[in-house]
Amino acid sequence: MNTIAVKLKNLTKQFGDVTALDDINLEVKDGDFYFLLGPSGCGKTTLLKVIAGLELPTKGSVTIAGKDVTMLPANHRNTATVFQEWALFPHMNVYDNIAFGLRMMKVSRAEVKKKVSELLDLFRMTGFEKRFPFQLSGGQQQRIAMARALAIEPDVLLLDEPLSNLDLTLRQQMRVELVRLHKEIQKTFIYVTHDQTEALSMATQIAVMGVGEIEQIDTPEQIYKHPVNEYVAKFIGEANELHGSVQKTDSRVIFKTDSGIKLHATIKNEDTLNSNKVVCIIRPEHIKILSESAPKPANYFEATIDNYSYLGKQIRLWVKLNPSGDILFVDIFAEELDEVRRGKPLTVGFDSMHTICFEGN
Amino acid sequence: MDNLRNINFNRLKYLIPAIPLVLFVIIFFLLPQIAMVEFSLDESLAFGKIKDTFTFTNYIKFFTDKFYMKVLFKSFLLGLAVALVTIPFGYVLAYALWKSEGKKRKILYICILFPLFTNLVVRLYGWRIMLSSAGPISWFLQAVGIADQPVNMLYNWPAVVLGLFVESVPYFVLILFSVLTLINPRYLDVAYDLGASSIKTFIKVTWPLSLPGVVAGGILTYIWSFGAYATPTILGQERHWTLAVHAERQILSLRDWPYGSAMGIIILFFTLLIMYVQSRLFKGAQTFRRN
Repeated sequence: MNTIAVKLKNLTKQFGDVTALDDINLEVKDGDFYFLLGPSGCGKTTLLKVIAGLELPTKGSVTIAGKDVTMLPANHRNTATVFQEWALFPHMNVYDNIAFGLRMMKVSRAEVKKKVSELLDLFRMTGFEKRFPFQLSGGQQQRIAMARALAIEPDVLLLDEPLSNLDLTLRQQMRVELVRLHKEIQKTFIYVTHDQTEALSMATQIAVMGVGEIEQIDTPEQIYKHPVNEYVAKFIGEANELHGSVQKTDSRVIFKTDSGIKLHATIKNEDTLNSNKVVCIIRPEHIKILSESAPKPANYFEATIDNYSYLGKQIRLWVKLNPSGDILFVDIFAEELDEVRRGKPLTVGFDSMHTICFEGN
Repeated sequence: MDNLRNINFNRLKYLIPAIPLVLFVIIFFLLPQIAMVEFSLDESLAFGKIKDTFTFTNYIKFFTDKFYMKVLFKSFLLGLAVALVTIPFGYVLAYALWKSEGKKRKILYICILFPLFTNLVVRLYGWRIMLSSAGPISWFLQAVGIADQPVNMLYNWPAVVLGLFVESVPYFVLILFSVLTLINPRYLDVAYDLGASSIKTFIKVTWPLSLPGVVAGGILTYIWSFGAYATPTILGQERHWTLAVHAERQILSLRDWPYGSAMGIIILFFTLLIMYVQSRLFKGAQTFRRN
């Protein structure tokens, strides 16, 4: 399973003077559920279109299943795309929609029928053959769009935010279903999204994209725990942000905030030491409320509750650090505090390994 | 009770903005039509005098007159011919307009609209010059050597068809273009992505999705030509006249208002009939747009 399904080398795409993709290099392994994650306008959809052949790159090469397909048009590439709005052919019923690609390949009538019923079965949509797209719900349309794409047995299935038009409950359900489907059919999926929850919960690999560039490629866990820069740290998950500078004495890194407090911190890159615009990231779940008897972590402060909001099983607190007035948000379980009110004094603490400093932009 | 009145009022208040339009239709269309119907049921006496009665004589006279039956048939034929010429030509133009972008699209758009800036009669007299034996086309045919003497292309059926075709094309293109722009370009991406060539994509996706525009534009062209008045009189001869021209002659030249009015109502009837048949026949073409 470790062969390369898709390889992009030095891929650049320009639209006039605008560089949409700048020297992209990535490798997608066979059977990966590979995510391209980035904010809107970062070029992730363009990247998907280049892989599909719907856009030709300005520079660089695209290799699919070991074959250089850079100049091959979309209708000769064995990729299939599921678009954000699904784009089911409105004048064709479900059967004809799914059969479309097979008929283009001049597959025999009997085989088309067999394949379509297999796919309808896979997506639990048997009996819907004669329905037209406007007679289907969003979730059903999404499944038929998947079935239509998978019908041609693509080397790679490309998904462009396929769940973003669904409501939250259905979206969560479809996430689970997609992961199950991926395991079941063992194909390579490349999935474009701006939704970090989707990426973290579904991906085997994530490429986090900045504008036209890839910032980090790794597994969801590694990206969350060890973001390589401020951009990734802020894009994936929520985090507190403090500004200041760092110094290294002996082997210890000290982060001095602009508001005047010192924190034991970690740096990912020695260059951070030379920067006078350092950003320090602390995730809300890494900040603990300390009881008096608890052992003290590297950083701890007296603080008061400035504000709070109930999130169901969790409470989000905004605590004001007494020495500096910096406000950090902290997620705790409801039972961790017996009383939550504004102005309540408490002690908060966090480890140096969770106090990560990056060069600011 | 009070609630009920509120609900009724709330429903009705959405109709308030429609009042000017409704009044317009009543005053400028419905009332004249009623007057026409009334005339058509009267009896005409000599020297343009009218006897106020209630009789279907004019209608019976029309449908039993072989000459007018032939005129009616020829009007249908004319409409059909113009529609059949306009559809393929207009489709190519609308398609080109749809596929073009930016400045090119603007220029094409203006080119298509441009003929509409000139008065119809002026345009038709222009065609009279173009098609006459002293006109540029005749000159060109002689210069190239296809013809050895001046060619007159006026006052015949093809000239009438050509005139109506040129009139209809801009409307046809605008209608079809508006339908084409409703087609989600993603459909074409999907077809291409699933292995369809551009010809297959056209046959399987673009054409069926544009069909409502072809039908609507085609029907408009047909009705326009069926009821044409200026073009057959300027570019054709008496035998090319449509029913509309004959209705006008009855009223203004022969001073037979009741018979002319009956003809007018008959034209209106057939026009509405065509539209009704179209709406029944091509119902399926519209349904998939419901999302």
